[in-house]
Amino acid sequence: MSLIISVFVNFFKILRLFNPNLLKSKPIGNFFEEIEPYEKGFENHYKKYLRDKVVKFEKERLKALKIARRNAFICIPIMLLIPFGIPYLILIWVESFGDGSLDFLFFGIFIVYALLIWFITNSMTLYQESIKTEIFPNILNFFGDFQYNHETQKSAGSFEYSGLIPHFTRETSEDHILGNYKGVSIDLFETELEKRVKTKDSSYYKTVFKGILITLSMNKRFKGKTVVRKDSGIIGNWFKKKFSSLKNVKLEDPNFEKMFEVYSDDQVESRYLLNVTFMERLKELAETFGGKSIQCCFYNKELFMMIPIKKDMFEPGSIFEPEDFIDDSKNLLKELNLIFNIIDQLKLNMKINL
Amino acid sequence: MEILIGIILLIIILLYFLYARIIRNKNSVLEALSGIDVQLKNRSNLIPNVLTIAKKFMKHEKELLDNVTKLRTKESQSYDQNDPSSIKDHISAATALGSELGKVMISVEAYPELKSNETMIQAQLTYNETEAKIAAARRFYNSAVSQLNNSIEIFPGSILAKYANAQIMPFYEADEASRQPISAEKFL
Repeated sequence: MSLIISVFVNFFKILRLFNPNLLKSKPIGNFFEEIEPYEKGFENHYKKYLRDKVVKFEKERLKALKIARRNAFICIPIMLLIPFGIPYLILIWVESFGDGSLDFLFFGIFIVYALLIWFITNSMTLYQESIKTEIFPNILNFFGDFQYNHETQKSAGSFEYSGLIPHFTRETSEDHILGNYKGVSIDLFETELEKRVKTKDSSYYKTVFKGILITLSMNKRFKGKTVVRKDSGIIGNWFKKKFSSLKNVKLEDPNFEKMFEVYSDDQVESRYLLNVTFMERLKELAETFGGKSIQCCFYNKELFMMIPIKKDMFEPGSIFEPEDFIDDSKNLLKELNLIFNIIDQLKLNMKINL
Repeated sequence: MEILIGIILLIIILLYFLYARIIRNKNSVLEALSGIDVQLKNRSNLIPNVLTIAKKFMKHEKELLDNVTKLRTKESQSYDQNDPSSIKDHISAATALGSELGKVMISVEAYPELKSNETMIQAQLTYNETEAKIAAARRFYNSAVSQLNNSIEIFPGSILAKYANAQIMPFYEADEASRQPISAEKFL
């Protein structure tokens, strides 16, 4: 499914390469307007760390588009000619290998198309990656000591202790952010977990989780492990109870119980963590994320959270718009503010009893 | 005949499961009670330190401080975990001690020197944390008691309870004072 979406996205990108005004540089305002409360003070930061880089990156953007357009002029005729050649290819293939192995031929054609698309869009991809590696860290240092890495060595597998990670066979992780907000250290990355599903004739990958995995430091060490998972209905909950080494914790709030299921190996500690106020905050947080099934685990000195988000987070703005880093900054500030809201809403910076 | 044997067998299996559930619930109450005792012990260990500092400054609260000492001794006495009335007395003692200790902590506000004392500040933080843990342990206990009481009050649990040696257990309710709105005048 994600492959089909990616083909469509790239197809529209290629179409936009034929815009006659594509390579004309438009005048850029270079002024960051502070609208949202969390943007306060960013105008100065923008002037100090980002504005000087605009001219250089605008040149690189135009260069990347120029290369992409040139490659499109070479590749698109080939892509259009291939369908006319397919009947001849089939004939030659059947004569040589018989009609039983036509799947290989179609797979080969698909690979050729994928390579051609990659050849056209590669310069644009590289440009956007350069925004991530060179500009994103400069935006993030607005919040202090924050680090950003486009690639990550972290894996969802390292959180399997939580029992929240679904079974997966393929993982795509990126955008690793490390930092500190109000004394709470943040370690997060974006990930997509997929499971290979076998059918009678073939197999495909099904997304089992897409979103961000966050680890937040807590102000105290926990003796046990407490897991808050999404409610899976009567049958799902019954299976989870049966196959979990943790005991189910029945809490007093019926609305919380409708949204979540709590499991722990320390009944007292789980209730200490999930007191009435914290349950309320967790419900509010779930609503902030559009009622999505937020799941979390308190273990050692950390709170691990899984937040499903369909949208690709921490992505640069469109390459087809003049470069000024304003869109990039606004997006990144907005997305980081969402993460800071978790700390604020759950009051994780408070020292005693959450 | 075979059907009759089948029905009897089914009833026996059902009764066994109900009996096992009562035992499980009873053990869960005992586990929760132990959880409360651990937290009460932590609070009890904190009291001598609080009293030592408080006595230096709170000359006019002698009666309150003596009361805390007496209630601490009463709460620390051993009790029978299988006897509901003994548990009820133990809970009452713990509640009364919690209430008096709460009054001490509020009275501290009237003594600026004591309030700013580093040891007292630390003791208050630990006290707040311990009270939060007692509240958590109380929620676990009440949840376990609720399950046990439901399982032995509903027929045929009421009959099986005698064989399982299970009795209706008292809830650990918050003290009357903490349910009332706080009046600052009392402590000023």
